[in-house]
Amino acid sequence: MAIEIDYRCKSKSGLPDESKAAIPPEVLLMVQEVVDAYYIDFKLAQEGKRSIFRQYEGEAIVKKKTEGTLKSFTYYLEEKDDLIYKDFKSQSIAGKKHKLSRVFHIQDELPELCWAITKEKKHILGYSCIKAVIEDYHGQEVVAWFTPRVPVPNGPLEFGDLPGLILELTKGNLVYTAVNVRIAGNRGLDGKIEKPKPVSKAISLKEYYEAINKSDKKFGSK
Amino acid sequence: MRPSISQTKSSVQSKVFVCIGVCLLFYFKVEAQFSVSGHVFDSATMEPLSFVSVTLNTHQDTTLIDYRVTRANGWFLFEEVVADSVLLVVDALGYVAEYFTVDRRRGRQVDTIWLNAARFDLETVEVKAYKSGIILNGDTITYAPSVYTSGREENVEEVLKKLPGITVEEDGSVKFGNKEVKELLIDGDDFLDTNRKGLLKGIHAIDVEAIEVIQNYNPTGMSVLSSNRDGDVAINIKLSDMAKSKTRYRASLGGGYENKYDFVGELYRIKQKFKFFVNTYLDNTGQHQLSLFDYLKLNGGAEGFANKAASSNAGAVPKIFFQKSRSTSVASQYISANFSYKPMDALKINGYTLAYGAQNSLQSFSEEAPLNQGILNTFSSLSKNSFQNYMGKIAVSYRPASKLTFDFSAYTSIQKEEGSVDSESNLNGLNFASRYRNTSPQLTSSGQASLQYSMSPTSLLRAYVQADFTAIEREISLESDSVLHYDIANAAVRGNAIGQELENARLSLDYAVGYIKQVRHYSLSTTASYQSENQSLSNSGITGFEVPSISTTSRLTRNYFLWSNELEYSKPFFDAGIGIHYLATDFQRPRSSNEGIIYPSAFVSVNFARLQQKIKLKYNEQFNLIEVPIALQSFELQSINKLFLFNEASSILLRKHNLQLQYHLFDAFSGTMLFLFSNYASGISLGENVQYFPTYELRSAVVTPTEKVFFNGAILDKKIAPIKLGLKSKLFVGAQQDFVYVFDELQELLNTNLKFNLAAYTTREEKVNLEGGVGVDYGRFGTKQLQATARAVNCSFKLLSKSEGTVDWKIGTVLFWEQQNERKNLYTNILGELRFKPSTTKLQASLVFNDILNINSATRITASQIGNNYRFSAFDTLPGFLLLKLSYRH
Repeated sequence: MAIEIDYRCKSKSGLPDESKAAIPPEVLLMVQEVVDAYYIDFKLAQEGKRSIFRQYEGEAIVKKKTEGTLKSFTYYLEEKDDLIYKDFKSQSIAGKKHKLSRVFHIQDELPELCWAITKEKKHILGYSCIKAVIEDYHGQEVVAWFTPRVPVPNGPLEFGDLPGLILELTKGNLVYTAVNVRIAGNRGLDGKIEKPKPVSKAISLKEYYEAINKSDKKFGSK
Repeated sequence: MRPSISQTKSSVQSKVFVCIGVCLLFYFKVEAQFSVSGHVFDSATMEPLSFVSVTLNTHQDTTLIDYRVTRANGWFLFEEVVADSVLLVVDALGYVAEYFTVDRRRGRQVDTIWLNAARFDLETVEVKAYKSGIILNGDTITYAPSVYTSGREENVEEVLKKLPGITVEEDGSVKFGNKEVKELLIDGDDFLDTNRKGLLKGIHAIDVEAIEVIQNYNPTGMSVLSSNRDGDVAINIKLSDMAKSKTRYRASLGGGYENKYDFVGELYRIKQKFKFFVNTYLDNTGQHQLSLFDYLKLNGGAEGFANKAASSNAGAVPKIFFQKSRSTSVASQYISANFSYKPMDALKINGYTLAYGAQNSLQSFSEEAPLNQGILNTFSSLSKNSFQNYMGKIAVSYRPASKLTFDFSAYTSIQKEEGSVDSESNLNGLNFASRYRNTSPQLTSSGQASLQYSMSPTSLLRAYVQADFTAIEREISLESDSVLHYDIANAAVRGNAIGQELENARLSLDYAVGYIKQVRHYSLSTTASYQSENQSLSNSGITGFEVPSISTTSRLTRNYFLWSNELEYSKPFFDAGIGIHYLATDFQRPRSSNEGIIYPSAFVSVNFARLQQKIKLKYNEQFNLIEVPIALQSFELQSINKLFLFNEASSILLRKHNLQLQYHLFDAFSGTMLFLFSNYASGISLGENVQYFPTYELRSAVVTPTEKVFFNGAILDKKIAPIKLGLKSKLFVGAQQDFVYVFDELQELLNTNLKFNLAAYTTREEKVNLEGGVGVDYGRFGTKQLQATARAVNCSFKLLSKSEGTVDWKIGTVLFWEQQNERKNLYTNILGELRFKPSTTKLQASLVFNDILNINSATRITASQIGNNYRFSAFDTLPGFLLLKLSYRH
């Protein structure tokens, strides 16, 4: 049995308020349009005991060509092959991440996540979802909305381990929302799910986030 | 003292009871908890199943109590389950879920659970789930107001003000970006909008479902040609279905000191087929016309004015230059009932049943019919100010085919000047016009022919022909990555004749050629036109004027796009042009004679603009936007007659590592109104929480060919960079330098000021905003001024609780010390406003004294010293008023 989920990743809040105040309205509109129009599509594919979460494959990953006032705004995102690979049989996780002009190769055990289930509910794609929260390595709250109706303990990034598929995940300023759930049945998936080959020294998830955190502090970002 | 036996016995007994009680409690506690565990296996392969979802749920509503996800051995365990009975659900993708009721009385449970493979696949589910605040669809931008508003907005105007990119001016005009919105539509209907401010304030915010900004708006439905020429912008206010079932009204009444009154009454109902809007405005609180006395007061009295004049280097003492009105906000009276009725799909009736007031623009409407439809437009007006004007018009527009439109109208007009015997003039006439338009992918041609017959004051038959040809941009492919395109934007021949006499002619040609190679785009455009107009309707006593003009403009533009692999967008833009315009016209247009004075006028424009946009979006792990540098620059130099203008429009914003640089220069050349205003501001971070933000400003008077001059001396309303101080407060620090200069013919207004103003502002959310500042003002005529300002503005706080409403208040004072040669003045302006806004009712009350926004119109208390003479006085610099206003809306 295989399943594919398309997630659309957008910035939760767009521009910070203090930035908005300092930008002339007409420019703000343009910037906000860019921010609003900008998103990245991810796909989570699971077949059997293996899954992979990665950006859409393609030539250049064209995000959006806006029309109207932003006719001239055409922007491209470089092709990236960031991915998170999970092997539920060996209970391991592997990943490749481009950050800070480096390529990190992550190799770790599949984390056991102790989510706190809340009573909040909402519908995503027609599925009744329950809210669960957890703290990540930075002590930052991660919010997941999962549906017990799709009993797949998986989700975006390294997250999962809930009694249902995560249809929405908020981590930091990013929101991954499922826009399409395809249960492929026994026909299988189009692409293969393969463990990424190491391109650099393997580090753990914790080490990876520590490196990112250090970089964020250096550049003054939250 | 030793305890007695009975006492000891009693103590032992009580300890025994306590022990029994604790044991019982422990027993019941242990009895109330139990554990549930099990192994999950695949029934076919007999292998343990990992990553199976196992949940405990309530029986009543299957609320999730706890969960486990099995690991490699298929094992799960719930310890200390606190419930009598729970529903255990074991589920995995591709298997049929198993349900078990687990009961406390059965105690600890270890079961083997077999899951059977599911026999069907689920269908694909695909739902696009985003609702954006802004939806782009071609040239239309649709705003969802709910995303941007707080729900406390009262009317459409307040909603529009909160939408990004849209600004609403004080006079009710709306701008999208820098472009003025030409049309305001309600549910796609232009609704003969002539009182935009009333319309915006009249329509309730809760009735608005969406706001559409339509760029390149063309009411006739014809495509606007040429991509390098911007079309009009229209805003369509889409109302909710709920709004269409209700009749709304608003009434506001104010009265107060100096016999001031202010009444606004509005009533509207907007349904699918029938719409009406009744406006009533009676208002005499507008500022009085600026008199000689006011002017002298503003300039330090006659002596001060003389000193100014004597110390100027202008040679001769300039003539005193007074204005008839200081601003457009003068007393007005206006009543209209505006309706639109569409009884059937093919017919629509528009009109004003009554219009009374001084709003001349009421006459200008003319709506063209949609295809296969007819429109009946009616209009009647009665206006009275210095003239009495009665006017009636009925017009029918019918469009039998998409390319053809017929218009027929009849009108009558009587105008009479008060106190004049001979001034009455009548104008009655009939007008018939046919319009033809043809559009093809490459060429649009349109023609118009009309016959106009005036019955009075003289029988006059006028013919008018016009032909326009417009070619849509054509692309010629040179190479696979290069495109040469040309664009004949417009070529027109227009003629207007009475009998054989050519009375009005216009020839014009716009031509552009461009070349695109890869991401670079070059274009050269030329506009040339010749226009001659010579009307001599002396018999009618209307006007006599000549407008021959020649103009040509060439413009070279270059822009290119650049992107990199770091999501970086860069679009440098270069635009330079040169134009020569010659215009000979008579601005005065004497009403009773044709002796027009011709002003030869040369217009030279050298235009250099550079637009550089560099929006660099870098996202860190949390997707925070950490860097957005944007640069817009433009420079324009113009010369019109002897009036020399320096005109810039620029904005630079750079944000990086707490450094903020902002640079604004505002363009303000509008129609016949020349307005010089420029502003330079730059900010620099002095630390994490403080920024220093000096502002420099070059400012001049507003001049129109009709020789109206407007003052604008407010200096304390600068936009100054917000600086965080503490968690919920902001500190503004700013400096400002003003420079005012007007040339030659306007020498009488010479008022060269060099101003420096430093202000500190604090802001607390939902509480009082305090502003304070000091300023130095150095005038060309020896004026030296020190200012100290303190005011509390935009305050809003809850009166008692949210449900009981709010009190908004503004109060402030500006303290000036001024020296003009020997004269020393100390004066203060006092201004304020109190507004009570209960949220439980729709009634509002406000008490206004003067206008907080304009420091010129304030009650002023002055102490003056000239040598050993001292003088104290108090007066309104411009007539202020004290007004109590009540407003109710339904």
